[in-house]
Amino acid sequence: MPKQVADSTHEMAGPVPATFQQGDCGRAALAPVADGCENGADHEAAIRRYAVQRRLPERSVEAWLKLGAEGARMLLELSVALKLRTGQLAAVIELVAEIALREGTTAVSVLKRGEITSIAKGVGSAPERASKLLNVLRILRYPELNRALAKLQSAVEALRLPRSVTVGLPKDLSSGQLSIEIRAGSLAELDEAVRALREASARFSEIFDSLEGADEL
Amino acid sequence: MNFEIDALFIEDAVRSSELAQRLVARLNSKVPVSYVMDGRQAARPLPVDDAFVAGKRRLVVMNRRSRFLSPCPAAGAGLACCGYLVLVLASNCPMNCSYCFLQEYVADNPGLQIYANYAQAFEELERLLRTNSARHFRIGTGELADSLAFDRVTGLSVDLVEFFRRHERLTLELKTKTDEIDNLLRMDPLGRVLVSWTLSPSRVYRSSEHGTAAPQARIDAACRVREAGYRVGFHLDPIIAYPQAETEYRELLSMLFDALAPGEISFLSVGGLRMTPGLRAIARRRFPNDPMLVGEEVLSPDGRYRACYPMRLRLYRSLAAHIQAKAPGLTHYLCMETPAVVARALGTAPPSPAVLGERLATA
Repeated sequence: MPKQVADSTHEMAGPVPATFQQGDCGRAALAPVADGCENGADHEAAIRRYAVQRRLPERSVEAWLKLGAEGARMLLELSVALKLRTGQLAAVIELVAEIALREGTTAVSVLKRGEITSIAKGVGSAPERASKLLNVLRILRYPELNRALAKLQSAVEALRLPRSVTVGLPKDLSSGQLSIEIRAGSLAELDEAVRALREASARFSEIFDSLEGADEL
Repeated sequence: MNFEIDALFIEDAVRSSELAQRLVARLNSKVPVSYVMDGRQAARPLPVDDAFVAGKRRLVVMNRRSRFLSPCPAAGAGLACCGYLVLVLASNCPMNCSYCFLQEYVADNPGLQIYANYAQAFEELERLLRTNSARHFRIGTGELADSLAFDRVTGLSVDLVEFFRRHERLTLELKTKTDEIDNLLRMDPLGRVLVSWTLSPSRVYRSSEHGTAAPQARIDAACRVREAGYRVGFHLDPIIAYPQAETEYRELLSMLFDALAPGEISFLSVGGLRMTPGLRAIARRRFPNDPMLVGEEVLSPDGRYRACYPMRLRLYRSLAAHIQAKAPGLTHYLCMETPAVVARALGTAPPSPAVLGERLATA
């Protein structure tokens, strides 16, 4: 399967890929492709059959078909291989379309990215790889946000606060406010947490600066 | 700019109004005219794929049933406010910007409504002056419509300028994305009319601002009205945080300052793209190929999608620094952001609406 995914920018006229022959629910959907009689209409029919099996909303099916014949087919192969759940599949379709639009490229070139083909080829269970795929696509879709988030998360870890203190970043970095939670069962524990926070205050200033985009994201 | 109209509807009650007669005469029998009992019905969406666009081609002349004058929406939403007052003389716009909030706001009545009883608006303005004896007010007609898009056929600017030039404490702001300034050039506003343009970099204009005048044409029009005695202002709103945004908005500002000296500009407002979830869904459905609608926006605490906080703050600060360097002394302010965000972005708390409003009305 992995090789077929990696090479699937070419029309696939050969036998059904090994993964598809293992009795997963995408096999029937791929029949026309497997028979070597694929054309645009066959691909669309295959995708529609698969979508019905997965109860994929019509809106997602339409978005899927708009990825272009090749991109849509690659995504079908990927979905079958990773056994994407319906919600995951809908999210992947939307993310791939948005990444392609943002970058002025095609779904095919998004799906051919190394980060994605390595997941398709990679080891691990299908659900694990599906989860990885979504993470990678979200990073590609929100690159600056994810860079900023990763940097802030490391800065928070570097504070080395006691376990009783949790620093929360704003959800999706949608605001400039950190949340700080202190868990204390005694005055001594509270004092210790507050002292640790005070000692870290200078480094908090750097976190706030990063949160405000003061440095290169 | 000629905006095409498929049909003109005139409410029976305003059949003999000056505005209705003017429109019938100026549209010159090219557009079929229907007379209707209730203009609101004619403004309802048609059962077509894109009822919003269909509405943009149906002009409805009618009475306005509610007040003409209201505070800007920012005033009651916990946002920093510039004291702007909105005068609703029309609703919807013939241009088709992918990010426009009207897509959601007038979805249930997308017909291009123009209100024939606008003499009542002048009465409301005179009442405002009587009850506020010392303040200056900036009154804009560009909130639910483009102030000048149909001026060639409505001639509304003539009546407006005539009214405002008689009232020292009122400043009219005509906000537009067109270069429809011919009527303005024939009048002397006595310094009491400000014409403002929304400006975007060429990339945003090409991608998102369909049917509008090009950025350079807007700036050229601003230069001409400035020479004719009008004050001019600019709105960098919405600012869209796309990958090249920082550079291209700076270049846009440079293009503006090349054409007009900072001292010739009354103010510059800056506001980031914000979209309710409903608007975002509509915009993406209507403009599936516009990359400007798939930026790194996230759901913000105020329930609107905005560029994530680090990107937004960085862009605001960068533009503020550029404005400060190139046009020191030029009044600029952030629009539709909370006072806390304004303070963080500009390094100083926003003035009260009354103070900023007075400053902008007299700038």
